[in-house]
Amino acid sequence: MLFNSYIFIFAFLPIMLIGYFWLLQKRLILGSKVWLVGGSFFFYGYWSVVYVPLLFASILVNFFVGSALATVPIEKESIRNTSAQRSFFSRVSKKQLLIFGVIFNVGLLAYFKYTDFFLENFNGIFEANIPLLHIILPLGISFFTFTQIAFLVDSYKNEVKEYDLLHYMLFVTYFPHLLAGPILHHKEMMPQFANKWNFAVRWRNVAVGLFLFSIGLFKKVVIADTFAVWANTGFDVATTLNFFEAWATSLSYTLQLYFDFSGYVDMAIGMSLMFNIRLPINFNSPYKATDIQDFWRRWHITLSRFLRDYIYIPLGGNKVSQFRNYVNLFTVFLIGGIWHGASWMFLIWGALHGFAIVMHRIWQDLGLKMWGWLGWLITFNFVNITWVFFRAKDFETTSKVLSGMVGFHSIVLPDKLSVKFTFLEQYGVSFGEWLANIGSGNSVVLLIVIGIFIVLVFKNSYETIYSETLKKSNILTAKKTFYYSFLCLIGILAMSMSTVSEFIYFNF
Amino acid sequence: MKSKKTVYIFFLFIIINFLIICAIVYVNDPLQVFHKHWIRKKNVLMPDMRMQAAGIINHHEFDSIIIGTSMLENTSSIEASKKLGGNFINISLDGSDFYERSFVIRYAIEKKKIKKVLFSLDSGGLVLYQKNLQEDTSYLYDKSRSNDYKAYLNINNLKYLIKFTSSGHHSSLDCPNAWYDNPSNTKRYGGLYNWFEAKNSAQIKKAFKEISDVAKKVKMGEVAQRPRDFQKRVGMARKYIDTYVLYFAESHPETEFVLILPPYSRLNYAMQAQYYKDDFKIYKIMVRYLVLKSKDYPNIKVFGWGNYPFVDNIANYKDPSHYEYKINSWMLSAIMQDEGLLLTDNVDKYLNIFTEKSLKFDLIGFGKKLDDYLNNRYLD
Repeated sequence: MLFNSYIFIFAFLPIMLIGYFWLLQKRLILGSKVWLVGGSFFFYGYWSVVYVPLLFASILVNFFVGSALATVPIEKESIRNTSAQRSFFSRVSKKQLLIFGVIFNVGLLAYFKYTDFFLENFNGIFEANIPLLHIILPLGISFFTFTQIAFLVDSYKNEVKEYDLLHYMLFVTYFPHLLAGPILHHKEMMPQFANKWNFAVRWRNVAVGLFLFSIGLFKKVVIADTFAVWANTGFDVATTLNFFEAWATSLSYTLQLYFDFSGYVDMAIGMSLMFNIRLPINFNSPYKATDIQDFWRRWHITLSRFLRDYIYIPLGGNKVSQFRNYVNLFTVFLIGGIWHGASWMFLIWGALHGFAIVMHRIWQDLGLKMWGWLGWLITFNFVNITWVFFRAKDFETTSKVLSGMVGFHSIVLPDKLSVKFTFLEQYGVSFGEWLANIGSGNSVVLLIVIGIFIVLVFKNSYETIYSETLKKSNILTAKKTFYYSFLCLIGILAMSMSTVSEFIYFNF
Repeated sequence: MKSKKTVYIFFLFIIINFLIICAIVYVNDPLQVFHKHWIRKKNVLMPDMRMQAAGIINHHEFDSIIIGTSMLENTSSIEASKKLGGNFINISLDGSDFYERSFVIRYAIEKKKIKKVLFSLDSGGLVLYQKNLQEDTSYLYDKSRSNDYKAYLNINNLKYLIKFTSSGHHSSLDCPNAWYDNPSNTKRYGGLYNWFEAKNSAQIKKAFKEISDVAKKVKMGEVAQRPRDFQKRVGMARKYIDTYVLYFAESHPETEFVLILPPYSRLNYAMQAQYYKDDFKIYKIMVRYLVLKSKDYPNIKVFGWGNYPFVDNIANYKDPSHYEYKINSWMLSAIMQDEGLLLTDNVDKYLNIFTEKSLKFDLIGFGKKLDDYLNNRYLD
């Protein structure tokens, strides 16, 4: 079920909210949690019921491994609680148990996400002919797998305070974050579900949640889906792209991706807030970043946090030699790249970001400085160019877009400029249908400029609303209510006309 | 403001704004779905004919329709009325297949007493039995009027809603979506050199690539492979024509259906005959099938000019398919005089000449000329 669907907005979400608070009002705390878990499984199964057992099995295994981790003493010491446990765990150390849990999760991800990729490459390298399995990727598997790995590591570190199967299921399946994050920590979620102050409808949270949901909906169906048309045509349909078409294609995707994913997160945070549950922010105006490290502190923040806490730091973090530190940084981004999908394109994308982060670290280590505006220009363009690898389905598509972007020989300007700028023809510039291959008129240029202006100048939803809920400031003014209700209405109406509806990150 | 009150006001604003938008939509109604223009000049039409045709059918007077693709968009309905009799309007949908057009034809026939239908038999429908809805506008052509508001949940129509002016694409019902007067099209007529001059045109780029590729493959002796079994394809094509073309002729014997085989360039037919061989065979089988059916249904006439010399002259085309508008005019005269009318006793002869000419065309030489140009060796 998509957040931006009528059934979700007009049926599922209101029913879940009303049912949840009604049960709480009747003091049926356990019932309210069962309600949320049941609803979340329904939400997941609505798309494809086939993978509900997979999600359920994954939860069970992780819960029992996590519970065992809490009871097994550190390293080698066997537990002496029950005879059954003793028989199994007497030979299993805590670390071994954690490794088993991580391998289980990574194995699950590898099977569903990477099997065909591996077979394809194996066939290619060894000229074998092993048939592909064509496994359909279960929705959200990358997210619920990472969420559960985090849980296991936290259990290993004794940072998990409680082991209750229902609570754990709620933590993993809670529908606002199930399919595309944010990637959560057990410890930041479960106290909120247990907090008695959250058992009643808090109208301030509902109002702010509605505002956030409206912003997210508008971002997704109005802005992202508009850019998606040009990005999709440029990447998937056009056979060639001239200079401006290539830039319009890449910038359209850069804006589409941001508004799509941050729109999803705003909707998730907003609806969760209506349940009095605060989700961590995932975006903080990433395209304002003035260096690549800054970018990764602002883009998909919970993924960066996961990679830092569960890969970078265990690899030694920055408490190792300088060279090793560079290798660690690169490795983390390489893993981040392949996490997004089974393709060489994602691997290259991850490698490029890893390389950039290492360069940035060297730059810092050398004590060098750069003007802010130049840093922004380099960072934004680097991110924009690397998104081409992220979006392109193969090398041919990447080459088409990138060669267009540097193809000064293929500059085409609009026909109407031909009178005033004829002299440019001697430099190889021609005049004609300058954006025809991406199926656009001049509007794409205007909208890209507006899009970049919005991401650079406007405050993000966290700065304007979400952080305000922690303060006592009055953000619930009539003007703002009118403004956000209008965004919501436009979003709802635009849902009918949107040709692109699925969130990009549902594919990961 | 109190939080609870804010939530109520939030929803109240949504309802009020929604009602305001509904009122604006109804009063403005640029597509004339609900009524003729109240604010704009009477005949202002919006450019998306897939949407606009419903408004034309609902509120304009006519008794005959021209409904094809870009192949008939330049056909003047005034000229058609003069030459063929009746009161024509042109509601051709560019790039449409027979399936997509069937919604509009059914609606028009149910709404009005239609005397004549000029219908183009494009190869996408005839051979590939395509069922593509470029955009789903079927709700405009069903019995319910209450769902027609959806037409305004479309970004292109929204901009016309916002503009409370008389602006629109065309203000004439003659041939509302004619493209012959567009400079980017007109400059490409006159010969191959003009195609070269228009090298930035997406249509030209696509055409050059296809011609060059096909010519190379023909040189290598290759033939296009289609995934389905040939006989199965013939069966599907026949069923498709029965459902989306002949059905109307059978259920509306009072309406005359003039089925036009658009005269693509010889270059196009040559690619079909020499490389897309199965498609070419199916094309001929379907033409023969329709002509045979025209014997059973006296309200059907099939016209084809694929054996005429003007098809051999590339100067009449802006790309391998699209001909000059004077050919649209010429076709009306031909129909008036039954010139090019295919009957059971002349269809075989027609197809034989058509095939012979298409096979004789020097596709490899043409492809080489293009490659020379593409490799910057074109000196002419």
